[in-house]
Amino acid sequence: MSVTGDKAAVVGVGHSEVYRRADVPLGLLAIDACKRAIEDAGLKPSDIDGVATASYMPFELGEPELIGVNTLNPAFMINALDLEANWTESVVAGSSQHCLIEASHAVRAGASRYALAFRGLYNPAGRRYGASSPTTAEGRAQFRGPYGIFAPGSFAHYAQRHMHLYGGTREQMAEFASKNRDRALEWEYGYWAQHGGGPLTVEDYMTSRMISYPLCIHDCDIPVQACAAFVLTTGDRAKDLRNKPVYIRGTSAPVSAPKSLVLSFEEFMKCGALVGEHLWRQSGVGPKDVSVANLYDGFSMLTPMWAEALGFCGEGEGFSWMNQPTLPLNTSSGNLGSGRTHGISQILDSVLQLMGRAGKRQVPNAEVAVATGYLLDSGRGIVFGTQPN
Amino acid sequence: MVHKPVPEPDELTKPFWDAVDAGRLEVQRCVKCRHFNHPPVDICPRCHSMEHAFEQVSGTGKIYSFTITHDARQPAFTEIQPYPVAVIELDEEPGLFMLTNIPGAEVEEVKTGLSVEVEFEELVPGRFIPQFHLQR
Repeated sequence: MSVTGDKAAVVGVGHSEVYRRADVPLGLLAIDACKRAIEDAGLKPSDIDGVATASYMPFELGEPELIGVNTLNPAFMINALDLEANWTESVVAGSSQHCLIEASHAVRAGASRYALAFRGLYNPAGRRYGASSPTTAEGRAQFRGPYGIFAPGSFAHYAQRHMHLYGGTREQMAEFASKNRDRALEWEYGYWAQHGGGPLTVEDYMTSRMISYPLCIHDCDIPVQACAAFVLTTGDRAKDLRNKPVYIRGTSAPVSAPKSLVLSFEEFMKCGALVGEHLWRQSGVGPKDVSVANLYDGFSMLTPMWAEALGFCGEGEGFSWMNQPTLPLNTSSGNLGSGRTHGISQILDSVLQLMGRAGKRQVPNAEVAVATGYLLDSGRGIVFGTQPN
Repeated sequence: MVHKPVPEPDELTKPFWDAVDAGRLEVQRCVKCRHFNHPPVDICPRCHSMEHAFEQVSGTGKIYSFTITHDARQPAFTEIQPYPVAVIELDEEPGLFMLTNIPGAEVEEVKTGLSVEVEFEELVPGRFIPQFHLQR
């Protein structure tokens, strides 16, 4: 076996069409994405012997889970594509990195030869995203529900405290969001490019609808229905396939359980720093070695926070750094640019960059990419490289 | 009539809500290491003791961070938006956080660092939640 032989690499990618509010089951998009990824790898469904996905509805409204309709699991895809899977994993987690990370462990361990990792987000027609009307609050919600704090607000107060401590402004976010929209229009796998989006000016941002101060509508990724899939195998097997393999050099999937009602801002940032610590240690590279950074932006202010946590800039410098980054940043246009897919675009662009298939977005000589997903206290990260470590 | 979601007390949280309904703010405190735990716990995360008691606290604290909800997606809250949701840190211990809507304040008045004091809001007859207003 060569030195790269047993390292995990991404060898195929696929992305479904993006719907704003779909009237088709999520399973249909998942089948499409998986077929594309398998074909992209130069393989057949019968080659796939490992399947990982996230069985997590985009928004729990007390509705029953209907596999293939509003949620996904490995069994659904095994049936749909007639796969003979020796290994499966179904993670209950937000960030799309998670199923790739699990699949990378499986191929390295030899539990799977060619593993399929896919993730979909569900957003049906006929319903306002996030709407509900509970009359009681149970569990931890006893201390949160009665105060009317929702998903944007649960993050927004961290953004507020960051801006309070370090002086970041909405004008800086406006500049970031505006430039990001330009990138979004070049990101063919995303909502804005597929649905006739236009430029976003700084004034558009500054006068837009507030959601939960300091988050306005343009700080929040637009809910969509979409699915992406990735095929992973070992370095040795990748040699026979059509794409340049993109190695998974480092991963981080920490779990944080707040010890009190609210995780403090300092602890929140520390969680992100822990992700960074693991990524750099495992991958054997550091921020200065990275060719392209795709830092999660489901809420826009997460990008400067991830940048600080991973060491791309110093504490509190994120807001100014993100507008003058020291390396290509969010060339995918992130989730802000592509729609709410919990980190898919960050992963997909990172892989395409290193495969040399990023077209107009291509960063010359891209060798190392990092893709983070989700919030810092529940986030996942992957360092990809054209060379294994 | 639409009302805010009413907390459903459980075995651990019942003493907290009984005190609140009687007009007192009491927080669970570990008997062994004296650490306040909120929400209440079975096992103290610091010292692993299972001996706890509820202790009345001063009701004062400071605003640690906040958001202003402009677009709630629940009818009880869309009726009153925009409104603040602040994380307040009680004076008794660093990291002892509770939420509040800062009743009686305009949204522009809400700032990190301001001092607050507890009061109680009735959600439905006999059932209250703690709120914290600005100390003026």
